[in-house]
Amino acid sequence: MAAPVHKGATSPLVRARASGRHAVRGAGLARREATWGLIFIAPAMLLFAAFSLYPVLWTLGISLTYYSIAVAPKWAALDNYRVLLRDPLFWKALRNTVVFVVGTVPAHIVLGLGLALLLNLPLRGRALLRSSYYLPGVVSAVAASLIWLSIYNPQAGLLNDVLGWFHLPPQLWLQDPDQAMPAIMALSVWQGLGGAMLIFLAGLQGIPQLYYDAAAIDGANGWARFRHITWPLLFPTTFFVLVTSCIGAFQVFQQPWIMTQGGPLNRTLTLVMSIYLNGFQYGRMGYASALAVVLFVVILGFSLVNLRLFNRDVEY
Amino acid sequence: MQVPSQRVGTISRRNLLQRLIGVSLAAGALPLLAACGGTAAVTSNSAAQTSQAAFSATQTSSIAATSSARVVASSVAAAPTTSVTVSAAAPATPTAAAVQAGSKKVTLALWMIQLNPEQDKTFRAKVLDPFNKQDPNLQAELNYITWGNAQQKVLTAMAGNASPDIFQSAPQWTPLFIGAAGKENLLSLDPYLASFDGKNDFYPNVMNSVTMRGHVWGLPYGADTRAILYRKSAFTEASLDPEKPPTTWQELATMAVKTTKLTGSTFARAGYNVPIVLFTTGQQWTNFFYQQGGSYYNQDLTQVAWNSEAGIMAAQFQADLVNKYRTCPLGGIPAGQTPAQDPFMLGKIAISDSGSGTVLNFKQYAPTEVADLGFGWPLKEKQQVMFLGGNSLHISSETKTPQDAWTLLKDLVSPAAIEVYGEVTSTPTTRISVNQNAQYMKETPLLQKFAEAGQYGKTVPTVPGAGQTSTIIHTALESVIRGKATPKEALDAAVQQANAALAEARKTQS
Repeated sequence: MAAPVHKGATSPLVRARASGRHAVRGAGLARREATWGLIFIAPAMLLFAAFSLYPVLWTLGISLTYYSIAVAPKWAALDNYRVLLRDPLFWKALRNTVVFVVGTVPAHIVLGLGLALLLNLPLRGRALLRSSYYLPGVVSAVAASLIWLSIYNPQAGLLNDVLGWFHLPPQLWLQDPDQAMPAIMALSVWQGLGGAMLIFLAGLQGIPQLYYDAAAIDGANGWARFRHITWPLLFPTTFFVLVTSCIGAFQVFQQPWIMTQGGPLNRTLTLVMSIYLNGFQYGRMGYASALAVVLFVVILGFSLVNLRLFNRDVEY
Repeated sequence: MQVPSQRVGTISRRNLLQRLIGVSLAAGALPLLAACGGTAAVTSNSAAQTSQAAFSATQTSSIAATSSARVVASSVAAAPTTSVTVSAAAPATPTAAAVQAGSKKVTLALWMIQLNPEQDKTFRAKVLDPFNKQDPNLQAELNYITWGNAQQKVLTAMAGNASPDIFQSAPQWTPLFIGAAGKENLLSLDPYLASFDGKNDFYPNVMNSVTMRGHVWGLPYGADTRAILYRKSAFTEASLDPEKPPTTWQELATMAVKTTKLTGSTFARAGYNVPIVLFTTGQQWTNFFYQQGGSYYNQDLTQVAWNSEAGIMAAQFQADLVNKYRTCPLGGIPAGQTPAQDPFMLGKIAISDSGSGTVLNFKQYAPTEVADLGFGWPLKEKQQVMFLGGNSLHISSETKTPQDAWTLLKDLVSPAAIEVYGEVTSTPTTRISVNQNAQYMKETPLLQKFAEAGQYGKTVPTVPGAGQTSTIIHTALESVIRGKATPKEALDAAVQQANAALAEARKTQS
């Protein structure tokens, strides 16, 4: 296969430098371009600085204070972090959040990829099926949570009715400390599956048919084609889904807040819920900021580990 | 087969994905931090009340509202006088008093808890419009908040120096809003009350809920008195006298057992419900705790006193109702997602601790069932008492025109105006004379009884850190009901945690 190679490919700037008078003109042009570049990105950077960077730095600052919003912050040094390390609810929330991430992210990837592979086949009604699987992702988390709250109702919910058809005993679902988190994870997987499927579909369609044709000529069967072509070439896509799903899962809030408010026995209390409760219900904004900083570090750490473990350079 | 992986001037799929991941990191993780750190932008509604709405959606709207409010607030601050502002544009957002060009027109921002469209129409026609007609230079601009987002919105407004002039609030939030001594965010009403002849017309126990550190920080507005409501038909079905409600714990347990109806293992009707729901479980326990003569805090309100004999008995009784008497399923009958789905109204609960709001629900959604409602006074063990809630109106200390704000507040709690509020919300008012004389009270005997039940009402004192202790007591009670701990173990541990939380809150607030 011939590769598009640009012989002696140098930038206009480099070429201009090579010849005296043109060099001066070229440098001026570069400066002008740089100036215009800065002007063009300035609005975005200003917005980013005002609404992301400044509040982030402010959060770091507030996490070192006692602050109830209604009263000015008071210096607390690392006290909030010391309290946090001794707070059993923080560890419980962290554990619950990690359980949620570990329970939902692999499911998103495996099921999302499976669906994408199926819906990449030339099936009749494929577009309709794709839309159907993506639909839950369009429903707001609040509406979806309320629907599933009815489904999980232990007294009059659909799920216990279905169990009844098979003569299985009714379950407490969200009222049961052991079932509540898996129940919320099921809702989350149902809702996030369409998004993962869509990204995998895009990834699949980016793999040239040429490779499959060549492999077929070499006698590769379906599994071999998946194993040696699809899976490696989907690695960047999988990595993207992994990282974004992890970030999203670490920030889980709406579903457990609406469905269980952290119960039963704090088994669905998550880190973001803890931040919300402390910051806005208990008036402990300093402590909530410390929690937010810790969550940021945890997410960053996970993302870096993912980057190191799964970000592979696969090209044919 | 080899394909060059680097192409000059193009972005490979992998590079594009890597960049997207970078953007996602920024877009995903940073706003979370930002949400905590934004000065006035530190808000989010969220998820508020169970309806507890969309976190991000309300966050956005709150930020927008706060930001614009702050702009107006700055213009107020920059104005040459403290009581008026000069601006060519009409005030666009609810905020501190704003005044229009050339005149000394004061517009007061009033934040109240959301009324439905019909209630809103009546309230404006009978209260706000007449007030605004009285003096063209003193206008009230009403904006609604909800119980779900009121606390965050008001706190955020305070942080952004953009508080409304007057707002409606719940008693348990008062300590947070007041702030520290000398740095109060609410206006003390002491100087105004001296010449206010209506002050003795408020129920003394509801006045307590707006009094802290010896000063009055607001006026009681809506009353939330509690009593027992029961379904007469369920009593008849269980061969109980439908005119004889329970009066003691023992009677409650006996009647609840008799009215409980099981279909297989499913509760077709719970005799008495013990929900495991944040704040609700604790409130129900507080009733039993008070009835056994318990005191929520120690004398100087610095420590909780939950693990007394009364507290232990109350927790044990709650657990017994579920596990021994089996009057409801573990976790309770779930509340409906809308008022129309109230399980008590749908006949799924026979006896219920209720506020007068339940009567309104019946009138709206099941008018033919109102006659089936029986009323019972608060239970009596050592004391005949029940939790008393409600709401109040406060003036922000940031108001530029305190005298005008007081004029509006006085008007809102006047007998005629508070009667309108009571009538549209179908609740008794916090004024004794109105409850005695108002036509709507006379027309609904059940409401009159709820008003009378106010005499048995007892509030939970308002102290800094109260929000956190509500969650702590909830977890303790939940572990007792689920059989994970004895009442003594759970309450001893809860008291330790709560006292630590109260100490920390005092440190933060001082």
